[in-house]
Amino acid sequence: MRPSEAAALARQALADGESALAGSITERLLAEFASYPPARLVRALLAEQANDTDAALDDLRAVTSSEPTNSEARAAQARLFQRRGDTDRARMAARQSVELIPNEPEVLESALEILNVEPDALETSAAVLARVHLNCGWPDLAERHARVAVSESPERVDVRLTLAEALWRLGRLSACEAECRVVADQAEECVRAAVMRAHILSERGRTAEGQELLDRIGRIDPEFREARELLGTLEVHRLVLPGVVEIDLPPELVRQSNGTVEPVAEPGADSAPVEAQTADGREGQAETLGDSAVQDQLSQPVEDLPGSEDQVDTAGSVAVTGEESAVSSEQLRLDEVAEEPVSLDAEETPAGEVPPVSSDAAAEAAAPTDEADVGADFSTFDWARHLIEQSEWTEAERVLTDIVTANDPDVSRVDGLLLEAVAHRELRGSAWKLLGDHYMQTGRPQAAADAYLRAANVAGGSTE
Amino acid sequence: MTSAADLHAGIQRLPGVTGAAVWKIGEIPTGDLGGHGGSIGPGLLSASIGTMEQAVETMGLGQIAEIWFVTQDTQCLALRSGQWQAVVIGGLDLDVDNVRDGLTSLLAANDEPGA
Repeated sequence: MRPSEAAALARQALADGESALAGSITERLLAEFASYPPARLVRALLAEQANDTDAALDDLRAVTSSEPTNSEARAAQARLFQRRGDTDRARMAARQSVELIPNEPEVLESALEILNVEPDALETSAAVLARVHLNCGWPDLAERHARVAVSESPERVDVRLTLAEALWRLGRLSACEAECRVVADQAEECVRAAVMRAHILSERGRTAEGQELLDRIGRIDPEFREARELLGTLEVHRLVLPGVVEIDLPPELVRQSNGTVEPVAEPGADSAPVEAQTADGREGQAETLGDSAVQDQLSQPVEDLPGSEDQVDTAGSVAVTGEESAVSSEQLRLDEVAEEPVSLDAEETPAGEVPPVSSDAAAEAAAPTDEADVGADFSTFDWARHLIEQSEWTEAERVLTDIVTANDPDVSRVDGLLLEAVAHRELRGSAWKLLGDHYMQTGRPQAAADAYLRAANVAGGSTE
Repeated sequence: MTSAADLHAGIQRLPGVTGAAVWKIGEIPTGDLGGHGGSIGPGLLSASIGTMEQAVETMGLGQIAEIWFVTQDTQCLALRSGQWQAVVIGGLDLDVDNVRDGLTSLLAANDEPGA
């Protein structure tokens, strides 16, 4: 069973009031994929039900870090802030949720309730217009409104991500990359920004690095849903989407999750009845989660994804994308899962359909808990370190410059990174200068003077 | 809001000024000291003046409003006005009084109210 299907079962159980079952499935999922946003969202909703506000907010923070545009998570945050009596933050989160244009009526209603407004009384903000235009396939208009929205709310990472995506769709990759870095600094595990950065790297001829970044996304999004959605809009790209991993839920959980499901087929049993039963199970999910964008997207082949203005393009995309789509649609069938022997190990698509790189990535994504717990981190700081490790001096200098220009409030973190950088001969001059700039920004002129002098000495030494 | 780059361009137009650096408190000094010190020059001179300011404040002598020094071929004037600070350099023929007035007006005109 694919992780999204397991998450859908958990959602269904939650909707049916079977909290224990929802919790069991969620824990099973998180044991395999510790950062998987749909599972953490279910766990947050369970914690919300149990009045464990802190735990719920922790999970929601993780969800919004991976998926800053997840309107349901924002609405849940709003409810929890409201419960705590933090009205300002509740209203801010509710507004964010509304401006992300939720697909689910109940999410919208929940957010509107906190804002205490009727739907027709909502003001049309630049953030909303940017989302609408992006969803409609008008990135140039989306960019214009997103820029206004960013200037109005520079702290809103979801707005920044909309701007980044608009730029990406317009092919303005350098500007997109800069915005993605800002997003990654606020939402370190933002999958969408990481996908765009992976693509940008590959477009610059650094395909291996882009692929590596893409593979790391599998630790958060094992099905590479967002990668498929974004890359599926391109006619051609150099990245290889890793194969889809699967998870085996214990039979009793699958059985409990749907009253019509018979015991899992035993080896040698006729598979036909199992197919019919699991098909019923899918219908049940569709009824419960019919409005869920996630479920909608994962229940269909990639080329049929709703909200993608490039559906036609996707269908006509290069072989890589087309194959992936076909694999995805086939694997959605629960009957295939039921036919397979029960195993606790995550499984890949058939070897013949998965390129070599994908196998590694899938194996990595399907790593046991201890490895999955490591999580992926796409922050600019880690990226800078990665570039330094790879001896990509020019790019590293550019990223370090961006970090200093962004004036991160975590002063010691920037200090530490730049001091690491000066240890490398190739970066020494520029890193000392950047350190001087950083010291000036943070009101330490004496240290700045010392750093600038060292930079001048390095420059002098180089000249000599 | 005036950017440091705009202000720098205005300062460079003052008569006799051959180089200038300008910055807001908490920002990176920008400018060009007429080729002196390359890209590090503006930062190095600004940081050195900032160090002196800090030392003077630490001794309880108050906040420096202006520093002027002269070398064998260069004059340098550093001014603070509100949140802006600027350092200008010029030759020995630089009319410091005139530049001080122009610089003060420029910085004051671009200072944000309440800063």
